[in-house]
Amino acid sequence: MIIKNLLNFIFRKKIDIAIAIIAIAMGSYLVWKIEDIIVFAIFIWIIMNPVSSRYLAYFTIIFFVVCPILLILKNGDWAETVAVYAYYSLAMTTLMIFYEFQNENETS
Amino acid sequence: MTLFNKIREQYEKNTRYILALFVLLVTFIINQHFFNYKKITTEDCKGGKCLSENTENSQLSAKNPFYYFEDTKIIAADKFYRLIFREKSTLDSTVVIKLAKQSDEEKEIRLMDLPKSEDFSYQEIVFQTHDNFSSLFFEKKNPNDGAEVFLDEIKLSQLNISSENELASLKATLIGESNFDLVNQEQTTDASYKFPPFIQKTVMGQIFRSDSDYMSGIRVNFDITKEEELSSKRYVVKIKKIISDNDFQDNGIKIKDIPAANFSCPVEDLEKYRQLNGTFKFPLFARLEKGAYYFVSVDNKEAGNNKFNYIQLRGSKDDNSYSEGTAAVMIGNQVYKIDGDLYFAIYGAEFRENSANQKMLTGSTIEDLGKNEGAFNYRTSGTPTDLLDIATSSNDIDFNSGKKIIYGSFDTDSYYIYDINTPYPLKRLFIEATQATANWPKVKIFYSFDQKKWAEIPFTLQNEVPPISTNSTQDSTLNNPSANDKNLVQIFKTEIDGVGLLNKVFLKIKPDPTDIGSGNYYGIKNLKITGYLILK
Repeated sequence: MIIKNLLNFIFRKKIDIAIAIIAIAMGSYLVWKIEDIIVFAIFIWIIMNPVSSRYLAYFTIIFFVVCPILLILKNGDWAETVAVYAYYSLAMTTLMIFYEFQNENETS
Repeated sequence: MTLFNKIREQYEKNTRYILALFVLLVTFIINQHFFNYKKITTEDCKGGKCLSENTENSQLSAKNPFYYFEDTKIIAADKFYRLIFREKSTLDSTVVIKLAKQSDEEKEIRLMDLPKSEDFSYQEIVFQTHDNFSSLFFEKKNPNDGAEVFLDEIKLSQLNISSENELASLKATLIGESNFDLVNQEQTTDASYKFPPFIQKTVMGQIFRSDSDYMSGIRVNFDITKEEELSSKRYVVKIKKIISDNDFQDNGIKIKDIPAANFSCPVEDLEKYRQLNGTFKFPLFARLEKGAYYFVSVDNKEAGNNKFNYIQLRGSKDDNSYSEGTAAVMIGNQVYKIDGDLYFAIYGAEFRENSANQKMLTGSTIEDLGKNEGAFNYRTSGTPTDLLDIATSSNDIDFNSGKKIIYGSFDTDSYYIYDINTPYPLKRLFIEATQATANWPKVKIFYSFDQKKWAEIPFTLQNEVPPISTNSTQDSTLNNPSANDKNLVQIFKTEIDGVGLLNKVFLKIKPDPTDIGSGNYYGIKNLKITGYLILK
């Protein structure tokens, strides 16, 4: 059952998966860090499969809260990484808001 | 339906895919073309092509043709003096050493030709005065000769002789001139193989078997790929040395957590360590255990490894090119053997011995002042070589390149000991030192003649920034740290009576265990040991 669902999903999303694989391959070619490749692939996936901007905004807020805590704990390297993720999620949130705004206009 | 309408329909149907591909393309183009990076190989730098200009502050240059020796006391008339100093010059140059009166009257005492040299050399001159002078200074004969002249470890001693005939009977001055160019271990025959570039959280290096008690540096060979314009996150090359407990032939070699020494430098300073043959030599000062295996590693994790910032170590693919060790990678805290050997050389240290075959502290001097009196002089240099002057210590003792001091962890078991030897009996010994910083825990300094009975050296407390007043005791508080001593540093000063019998003194530095909560590290700076000896 699970395999069938998985195959269905792959068949349905073959173009999305192919583009996500291209994103991962590009990250590897550019010798990015694994976590950066993952974040970039998620970013590309969300462009193709929009999620509610609310969820992305939650992530942005969480990252923004965690960042100063890490700085207080003198974990500067992680704070810098989390700040970058906060920026990524903010960019994605903004993009999703545009999507949603456009959809609202079309439906109205 | 027109072609335009068809395209428009397809665009509207596949907007998300087009947008995703557009983001991919833009990201790729930015990464490929908007970052300027370059690859520098060892071959590119052969023959000194990449050597960077020395940015150290020289004492004599076109801008500053005079250098005054600040510690000059009044130079009395009709006396003999000995001047010892270290010098190096970037080009052939000539320096005039002069005495001056407060009335600006000058007298030349020596004209010295200084040949171009990369290494410091000691110079010693003896001169006689016929008048009183208040200062001694060095002057470039031709300020515009282009040479940068470096001077340090300047010592001026008054001799107890009254005629030139007595000069011949003086014993030769002993100078603790250590040699750090001695190669102990090496695989420098083959650098043809380029090891794969570092991947994340991996540190690469070489396991070697030490055949010496000391290590002063490492030479390695690597190609660098780096951005032309350095970002705020600087590319750093770090070298760690970790003691291995296991036979290096096994996989998953255990290593000690605490490195015996480490060295790091930002990418902009990297070329300072480039050698004429294009390889790199980094200072790495450590005391080693003869016969033990060590893992010396190059770590550029902090460089933010990516396509634009990485290094590629070079060496030999042949596992037998260095028989006593192997190339290895460290993942987490485990070291794994890999085939081949790095191009590497481990530099040792050779210390000057005094006439009683005892190790001399680096830069220390034993002078014959005449009339059976000698002088002993030593002061820490503020460089990592200071580490090698320590006789014994706990494992946490290291050199802090920012503060230029030896430091340790605030731990009751932490300590380091100097072993001060002279081939002649001590008449008197003077010890001076300053606590590293008021923000660190207080320090205790002890001395002993036998390492059994230790006597504590007293200290006064002074403002960390010395007051303008020349009266040094004005702001002092005697040995009673008060509640308001947070901005005060300890100033240690003592005189030890050697009663003309002893020629060995031990000096132990450790944290004050009662000063809890003042910080995690302790240390002293400006350690100065001077003494008078009985020369028989």
